[in-house]
Amino acid sequence: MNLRSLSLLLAALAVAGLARFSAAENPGTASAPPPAYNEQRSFAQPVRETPIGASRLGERSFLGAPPPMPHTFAGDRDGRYCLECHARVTRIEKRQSAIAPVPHAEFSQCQQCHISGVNKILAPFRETLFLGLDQPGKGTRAHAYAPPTIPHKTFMRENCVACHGPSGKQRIASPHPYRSQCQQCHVPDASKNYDRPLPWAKLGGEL
Amino acid sequence: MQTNRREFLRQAALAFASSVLAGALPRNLGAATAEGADGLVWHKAPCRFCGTGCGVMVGVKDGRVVAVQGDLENPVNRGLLCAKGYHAGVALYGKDRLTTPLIRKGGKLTPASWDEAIETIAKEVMRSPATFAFYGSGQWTICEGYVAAKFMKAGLGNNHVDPNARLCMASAVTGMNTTFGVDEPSGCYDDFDLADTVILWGNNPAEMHPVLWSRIVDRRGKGQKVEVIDLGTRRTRSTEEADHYIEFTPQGDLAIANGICHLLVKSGKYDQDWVQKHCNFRKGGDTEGEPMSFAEYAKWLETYTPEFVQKVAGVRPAQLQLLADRFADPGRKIVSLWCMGMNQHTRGTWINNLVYNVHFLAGKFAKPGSTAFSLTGQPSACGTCREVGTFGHGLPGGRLVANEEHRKQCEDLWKLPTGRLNAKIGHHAVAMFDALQKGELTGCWVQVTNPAQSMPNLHGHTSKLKERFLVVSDVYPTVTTDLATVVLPSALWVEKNGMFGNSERRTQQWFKLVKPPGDARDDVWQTVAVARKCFELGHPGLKDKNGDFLFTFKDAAGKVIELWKWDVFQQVNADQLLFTEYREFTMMKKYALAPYEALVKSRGMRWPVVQDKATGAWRETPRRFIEGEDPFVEPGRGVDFYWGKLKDHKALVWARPYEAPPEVPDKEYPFWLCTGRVLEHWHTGTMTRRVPQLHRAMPKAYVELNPEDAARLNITTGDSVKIKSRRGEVVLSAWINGRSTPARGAVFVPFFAEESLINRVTLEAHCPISKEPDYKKCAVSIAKV
Repeated sequence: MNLRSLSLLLAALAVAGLARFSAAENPGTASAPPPAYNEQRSFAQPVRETPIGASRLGERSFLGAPPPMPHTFAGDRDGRYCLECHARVTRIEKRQSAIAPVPHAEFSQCQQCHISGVNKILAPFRETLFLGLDQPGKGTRAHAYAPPTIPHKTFMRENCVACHGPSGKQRIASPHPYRSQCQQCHVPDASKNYDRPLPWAKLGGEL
Repeated sequence: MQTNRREFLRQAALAFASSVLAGALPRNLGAATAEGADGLVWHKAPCRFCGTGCGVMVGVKDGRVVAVQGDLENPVNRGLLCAKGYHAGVALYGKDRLTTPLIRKGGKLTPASWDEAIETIAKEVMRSPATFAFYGSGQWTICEGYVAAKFMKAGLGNNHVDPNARLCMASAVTGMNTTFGVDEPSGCYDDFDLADTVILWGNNPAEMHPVLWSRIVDRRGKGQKVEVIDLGTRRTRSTEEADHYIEFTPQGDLAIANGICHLLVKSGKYDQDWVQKHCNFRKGGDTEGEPMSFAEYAKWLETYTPEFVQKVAGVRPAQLQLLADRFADPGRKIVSLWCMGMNQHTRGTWINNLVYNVHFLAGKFAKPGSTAFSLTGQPSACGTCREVGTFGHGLPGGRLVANEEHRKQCEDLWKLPTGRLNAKIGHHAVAMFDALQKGELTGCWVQVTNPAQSMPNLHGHTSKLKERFLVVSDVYPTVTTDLATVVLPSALWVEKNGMFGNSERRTQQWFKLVKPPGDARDDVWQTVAVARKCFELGHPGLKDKNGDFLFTFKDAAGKVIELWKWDVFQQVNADQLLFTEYREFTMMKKYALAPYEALVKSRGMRWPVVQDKATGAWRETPRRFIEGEDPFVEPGRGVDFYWGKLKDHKALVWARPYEAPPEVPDKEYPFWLCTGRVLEHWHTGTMTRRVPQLHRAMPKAYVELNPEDAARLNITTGDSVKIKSRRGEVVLSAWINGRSTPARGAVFVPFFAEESLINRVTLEAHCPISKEPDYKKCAVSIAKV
């Protein structure tokens, strides 16, 4: 495994992307049902066995759902103060702080997605059979010494240290938080960034 | 190692460079489905909930929805969603989904076969077709509404079909119809990106249209200046972002709008050129009115002095002047937003007219960044109810039951014998439930809504429902299914093919992605199956003039597609067939919807959509009535109200007076009651309460009081409080300085909770033009219990 295989990997990723998006050109012709239509499991069959809340997903219902606010705060209408503590910080010293900076600083209406006042022990109104998408697992590596790819989508996760910095969970903490240019080495995995298609996937084979 | 790393960086940089290069290419909007790793497939769909119409990507794995993300390619939301939207997929999987038809036998709802359920309904319809009604929804897909309207109007020959949208945006419809002669907003969301000032007329988009709200206020983070003026009767999360909060007395909005016009005209700072070119003036309280001159209008406005406005609306003269100054500022771009605050109003049509007046006089209309925009609450109130015309008075494509020519056009398109369509207008929603209460209507089919929770003055409208033949198609047990004679389990959202039309005229299509649970079936199929059974039982209305069944479609070989058979229905795309038939109706009134095939490839298109003759491409219309954007504008006019009432390409400025509300607080009932929604829950909570995360954040309804009132009554947060009106009472916990703070003398209660029905208390008084009830103001007493 060396840099040749690495560039092969990049090419392979791109080709995978191509196949994916050429299939997407016709998302089912108008009269034909979409691809997943005929082979479906029964309603109650679970996808994963881990119950909600047992994994790193915490209180989230699936990977990608905005986490609820984990703590109480002054008042129900005070969402605009969230950034007083969670503002994006760029200096290394600041990352030693235990408060997570926001991973998506361009949005200001925190409570729109991160619902507040959550009572974690309250029984559900009615039971649910929803089993959400689980955590993404590890990124792929070209070889043992290669930096792993980013195994999840990066939209709204532009500031990596929000989760991978000292304030995040230990298991996914970066071993080198002092390095600030994460995507210099860790490249996004095209197959996980389904909704931000990497542009070369659209060149019709002209890589 | 060092070399390797450098080479890697070079590769990464190359990859990055090529991505930048390719990024300049046009984006492929056709890429609506994408398969990722681990067999996870992502499909486009519009969100199930509000009228914003956000695009979502639905992640499907092993036949189940496992995740929902914002769709970056969708221009409505550009990747962002709200707490409800992210959890739309969870709403499919409540354990108590209805999975089998139920028929009431010996007083109990008992599982039954589809054949038995369909036959039971058809026989009851046949017994008395003239007294059978259909109550639908702004959450109907376009084709669900179309099928129901055709079944009732063409099939049963009665017009008793009306949707819950009557309770939600009927006043916006009558407002637009009376002002510029055609329904649906002229502006679009792009205007929100350009406005200098956004005025909220009794509106709380931070909770009700969060993604649009972010679209406006997040502009500030990009260094743009956006002023927000919140006109309201309570402080909300939206107020927190507002530059000015102007509190007014309920119903005072009528006086405020006229007061702004008065100041503009008196100071001469109105846009004389715009007004002369594009406006006629009209007086009177109804839809017809009488002509008046500008001079007469100016004289009429003289009542609305700042002092008068202060007296009836409680707004200080300086506050009124501030609003007038904004409108008088010639360079300023202004967007007015409203939703239920103006529509659920006993003078809903008038206040809609009056806000257009303000924008017309200021010349701040039909310009990029300047518009008066009515937000819708439901995902397809526009696409289904308003465009398909699923109202007692409506026919598809903006046509009217009362118009002989319109009836004739529909009879031709539906291949009906002449005179089949009934000229008598059907019941509007409140009247429909009145008629059911009195027994004048003997049966009703309810789809995609929960009237036993959402009708105003519940006791007066639903207490006899159990004695009628009530059919309810729904996905979960509700307080309405509790009253039903027959319950039909329905497919929900991406368990079926569908289309919604959002607030900005955008029609969005999605495919069925997962199977509905158990024996649940599409609402379209349910209606067609009952129609077919009526046809087989010999109802003459279900035949067209050639004797064929009303819903007859043929395949390429000329063979009839038996849509009423479930196994056949599942193999064909009924949405494509029905929409293609319906689309013909949309041409007369220049709605001009895009063809199904174009919608499949797009992230929705804003009508009118016309085909470019040279390229064959379908082109949408961001803003109506503006030359260069709207293809129907007469060249050279600049702005053209081509449906203007007087056929002179002008809109109407209406002299609509202030009128006191029908019930005002008095000694016995000293508080105003306002009802509404909260961020976490959608309408009656049938879906969102089954999302554990949303339920845990907002588990029960509450009553909000002003802190001063609460202190005076010795009520603190958590205390049980009885709210009582002349119609009913309910006990709720108090929440002081919580989600919102009502004005002194006012309380607020959300209506999502079925265990504490606030609509037992509300008033059924409605706007005489739109027939939309006023859920925002009635008189109540408050007592600690």
